[in-house]
Amino acid sequence: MDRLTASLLTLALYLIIGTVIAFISRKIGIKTTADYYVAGYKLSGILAAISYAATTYSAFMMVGLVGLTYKSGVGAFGFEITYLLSTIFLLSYVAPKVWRLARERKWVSPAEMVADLYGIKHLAILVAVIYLIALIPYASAQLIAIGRTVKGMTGSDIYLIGILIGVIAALIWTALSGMWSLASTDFYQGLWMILAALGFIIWLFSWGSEGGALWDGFERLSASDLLGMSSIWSIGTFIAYTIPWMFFAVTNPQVVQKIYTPRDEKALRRLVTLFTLFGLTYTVIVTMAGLMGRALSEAGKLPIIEIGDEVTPTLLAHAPLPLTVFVFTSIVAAAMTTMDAIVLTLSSAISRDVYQRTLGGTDRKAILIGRISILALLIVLSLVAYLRIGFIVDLSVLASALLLPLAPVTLIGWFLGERAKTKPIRYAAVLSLVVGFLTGLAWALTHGARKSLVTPIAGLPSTLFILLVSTLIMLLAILLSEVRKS
Amino acid sequence: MRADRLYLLWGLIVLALSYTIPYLVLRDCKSLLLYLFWLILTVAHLIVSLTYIGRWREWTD
Repeated sequence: MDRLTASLLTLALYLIIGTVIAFISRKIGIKTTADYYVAGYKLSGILAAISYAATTYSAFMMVGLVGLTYKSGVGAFGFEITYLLSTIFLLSYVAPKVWRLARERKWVSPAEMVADLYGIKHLAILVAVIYLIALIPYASAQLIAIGRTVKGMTGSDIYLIGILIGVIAALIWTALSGMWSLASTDFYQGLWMILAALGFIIWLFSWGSEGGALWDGFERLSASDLLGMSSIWSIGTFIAYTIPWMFFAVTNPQVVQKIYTPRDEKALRRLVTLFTLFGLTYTVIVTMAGLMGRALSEAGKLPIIEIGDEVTPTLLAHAPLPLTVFVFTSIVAAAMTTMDAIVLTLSSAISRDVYQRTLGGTDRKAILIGRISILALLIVLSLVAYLRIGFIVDLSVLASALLLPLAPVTLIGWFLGERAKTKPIRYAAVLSLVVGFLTGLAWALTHGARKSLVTPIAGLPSTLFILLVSTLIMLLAILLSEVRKS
Repeated sequence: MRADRLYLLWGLIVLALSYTIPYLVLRDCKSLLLYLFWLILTVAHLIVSLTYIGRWREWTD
């Protein structure tokens, strides 16, 4: 069987199974927006956990992070593991509180959560706009990854067809029954991702070990700076890149919304446990693949690869065909799960926070608006993907940087409770969001997406500066509120 | 001190170690020690966190 046929058959199999799963999940009745967007708060722990993991880990892992580790060494592992350390901490510490509040206050979209925390109805619209501006590039990067992966795996110039496959599958798997079809297909795709990654690393280890090339390569690596903090990872760059990801679990609505979904406390605990195990396994596999690839280049078994995103395809060119198409399809799955979740959460922001808040429509109409907005969003994403803006790493990190002001606002809102609704703190929440977001946006527009992250503001890493400004505004308001009270 | 405060302290220490050790101690590492450091730190954090979330009910009630 040739590569094109094997690729198309595997892709077809992947799409058919996903669509069947989405149709089966349709049997679950959808009556309210809570049913549609947060599965009526009734997801099982395992479904919520794998869906959370599949949403979090995008195409960046198997393409961008493998390449980043190959180019910059162990520091890239530190970059990704710092995200995981922080997320384990945040989820363990705040998830039960958020989960309980979501039920008590009937939160469906994360934007309405922020608005409710501060008692400002229209704050939800501001937050929804921030989500739209920040996450459309991030979701588009996933669609670009799907197009490129389909093109790469088939070896044919069908980038546009790859985009269309992604859009149609996302439309069916997301719009059909919202979170139910999303979580069910995420579960299936998450298993595909982790199994493909395991297969990939086992093959790479066995192929690389032939003739001792891998060990020879690792010995040569020790002569370079790639096993320590290489020159690429200056402390400023490391802080600038890790800060947005550290707060990903709090700032990104597509994962915040997942915390609302487990059916009981046991399911929530399972979400945290299984997600962390998935995350650790996937991160170790992906970064080890990057390091092994580099060792094999150092040993002369592979050529030196100049472009980071080409590392995985170059390695897979040596793998058996079934494994190659299986791994390539897992990259499509990783991109799909992230894009689907973003589209659904943005749709909830449009239908709940913009439509229902301004026009007060019924739940039935809001679900219809939600489905229409999913279609509209996918059209926008495909246009952006067709124009091919930037590359995966820049866009992904920039999205989280723009959402960074939501970190202090959300965390302080969760912990202050009713006190967050006092006047100075309410105003500060709006100011903190606007100032932080506009600073990030202005910096990105003036310096470009990639450079804005590593260009300091007032001598500080840009993302740290944004975080500090937003936090300071909130802390000053809390102080003022205390002074007024006393 | 309540479990949640202890856990908060633990989490902050773990994050501080994740940033400081690689630059202060293992910056010019010539083996996989830095990789192992982050890996062991994560596994330790995972174990402590799983123990902590086993006690959620006690402090959320």
